[in-house]
Amino acid sequence: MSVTDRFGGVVGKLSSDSRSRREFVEGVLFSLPYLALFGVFLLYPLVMGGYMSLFEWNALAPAESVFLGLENYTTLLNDSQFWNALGNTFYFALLTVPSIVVVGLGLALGVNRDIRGQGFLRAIFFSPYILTVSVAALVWIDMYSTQYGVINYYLGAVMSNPPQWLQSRLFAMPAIAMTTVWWLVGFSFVILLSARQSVPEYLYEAAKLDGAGTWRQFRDVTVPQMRGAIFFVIVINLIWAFQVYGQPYIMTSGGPNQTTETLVMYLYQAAFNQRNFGYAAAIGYVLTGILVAVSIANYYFLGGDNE
Amino acid sequence: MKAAGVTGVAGLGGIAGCVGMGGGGGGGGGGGDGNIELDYWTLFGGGDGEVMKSIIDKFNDEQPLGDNISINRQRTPWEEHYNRLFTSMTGGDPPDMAISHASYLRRFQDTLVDIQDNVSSNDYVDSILSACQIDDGQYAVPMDSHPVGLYYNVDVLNEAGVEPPIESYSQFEEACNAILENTDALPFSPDPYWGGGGGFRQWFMGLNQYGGSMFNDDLTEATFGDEAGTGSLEFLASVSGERGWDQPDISEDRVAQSFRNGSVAMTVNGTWYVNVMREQEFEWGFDKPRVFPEADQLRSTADSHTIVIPQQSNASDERVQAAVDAAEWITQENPSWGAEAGHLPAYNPILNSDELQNADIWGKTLESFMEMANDEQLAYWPQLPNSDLYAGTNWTWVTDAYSQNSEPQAAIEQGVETWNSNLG
Repeated sequence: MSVTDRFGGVVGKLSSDSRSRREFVEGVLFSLPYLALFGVFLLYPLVMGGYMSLFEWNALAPAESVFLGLENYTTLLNDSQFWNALGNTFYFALLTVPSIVVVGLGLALGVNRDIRGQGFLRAIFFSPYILTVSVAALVWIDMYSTQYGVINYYLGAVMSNPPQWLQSRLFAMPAIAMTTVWWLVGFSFVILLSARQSVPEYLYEAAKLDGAGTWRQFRDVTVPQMRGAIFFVIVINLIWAFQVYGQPYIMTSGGPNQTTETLVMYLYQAAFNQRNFGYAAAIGYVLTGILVAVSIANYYFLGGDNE
Repeated sequence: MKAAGVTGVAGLGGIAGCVGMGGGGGGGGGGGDGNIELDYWTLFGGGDGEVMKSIIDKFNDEQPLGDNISINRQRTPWEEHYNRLFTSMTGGDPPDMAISHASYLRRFQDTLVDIQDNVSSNDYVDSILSACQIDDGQYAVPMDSHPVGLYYNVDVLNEAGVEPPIESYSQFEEACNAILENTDALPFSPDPYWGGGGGFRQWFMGLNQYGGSMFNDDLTEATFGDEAGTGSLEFLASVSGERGWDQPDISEDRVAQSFRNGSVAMTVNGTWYVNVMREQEFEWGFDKPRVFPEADQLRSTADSHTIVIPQQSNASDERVQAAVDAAEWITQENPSWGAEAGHLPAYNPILNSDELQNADIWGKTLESFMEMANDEQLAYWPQLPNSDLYAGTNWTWVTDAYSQNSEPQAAIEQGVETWNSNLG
């Protein structure tokens, strides 16, 4: 090995190390604002919540909190209200997530066609998503109203006794789910439309040459090509569904007969109604565990990448 | 210590990703320049909100405590008020003064200043003052009492051939049946505000009229699963059931609207309802709430507005005293809180003043409320240390029974379970 080569090699290596060190430092510096926010608003609360869940937590005087170990978690196992809220949350997720994905996909494929007013339709379908939960819920409370609601106004023409949507054990949760689909479908629609527009047209042309009809094209080209976006939409909607709070809180307060009381409503009630913050933190951790498990299950069953 | 409280609450919110509370209030010392602006959180909307605004405007115009003390009033929505207050307290940055119901004082006791040595007068209605005094301390300045009573549309009653007043249950029942028979209106809905968790004031009134109690003496167990509690709920459910006096429909504002447009003739509501009644075109009337059959005694559900002084780590004695003085001025110098807002003032000199007793509202509602107060017919809510009394989620079992979704007995059992869970 020549000196020059060796020397040159050494110099070159030093230069590469120094560059990567500098890049590392720059990277850290550029990431610091995010890392600071992540640490303060996500990581620290997450750790703190786990810590709180091991105590009978005194929010006004934390030093006086009593250590319980895992007692808050074992209490949950025998808490019928917790299981009821958990069941309601799963039911809500079951009603909303498939509906949002199917409706969102239908709207995306519909709007993707060469039609007039495409931009206008995109704006219309997306617009409910920009509303706050309170506004969306209040709009639908009026829609479902037995006194002056538009739904029962028209149903009244064909049936003598239209349902009391938000007061019926049978209809209250589906009514809340309907509100949620209307409110949130715009987000999934935009994601799916963008994914559909990224599918190369030559794949459809090739499929047509092979004699594939509309259904075969949808099944063998559209869905596989959009799998990543569909997976994302399912996971994000599942996460939102399990965190549902505002719609049932505003529309039914968890009634009738606690059929619309969700896990986060119960968490909130434990924390701010009963001031049992440690127990509420335990509910939060169970919820986090469920979300992680559901996301992993989705990844395995649906596949997380688009390759 | 309190900073850790903030992180604790934040930690909880972080997990669920859903709890976001605004805090922030007043604070500070006496003010470097000698000026003190007191932050004051109220929960009043509508008519009494306007009256409270005029009272604070008057304070800031007249500056009765000196030209260096002013009040910055902030109104928080009723349903957010207590959680915002609690969150601000855990963060060590609460307002200087805040409205609190007397029923919430024990819940907030640890975060409030004991003002026993700061107050200048205790010439308040005994029952209301004693609600502010807990464990040998005083934690609030009493402001009013606001019981509930029977409001009715005189035009509809006359159309049905009924002549008010309604002074007994049998008269009430006759009136309901006459309205049902002779008019298009529904006779009676116990509460104008249904939705999830309405009707609880009226149920509590029935519980007390039947001689029951909600909790045991040490507030550890619900005791209303007896005849009194069940009887009260059975009657309410019968109103929308077999009696047919109302529909089993608990849509949020159905009755509020129907009462205003004359399609519900009678309802039970609090002192504050006079502000709504004044705006109606029909003639309205009011009587004591004798609406439960075979009741042992007349009772009306009551609570009190009070003004509390939350603890602030950096508030000077001067600032705390200024807040107490301002709270006393609000409660002692403003008959309009009774004469215009419709509440029964807690300060005796105002309660007995000509200004109040010559006001239009006196003969209409306040005189009856005062008689009930004097006759010890007001049933005050218990002061629970750990539960949010007015949270709608605690009362959905009442609406479940009224909407005929549950049998009264099953609903009562659900209610007992809910409250035992809260107390536990």
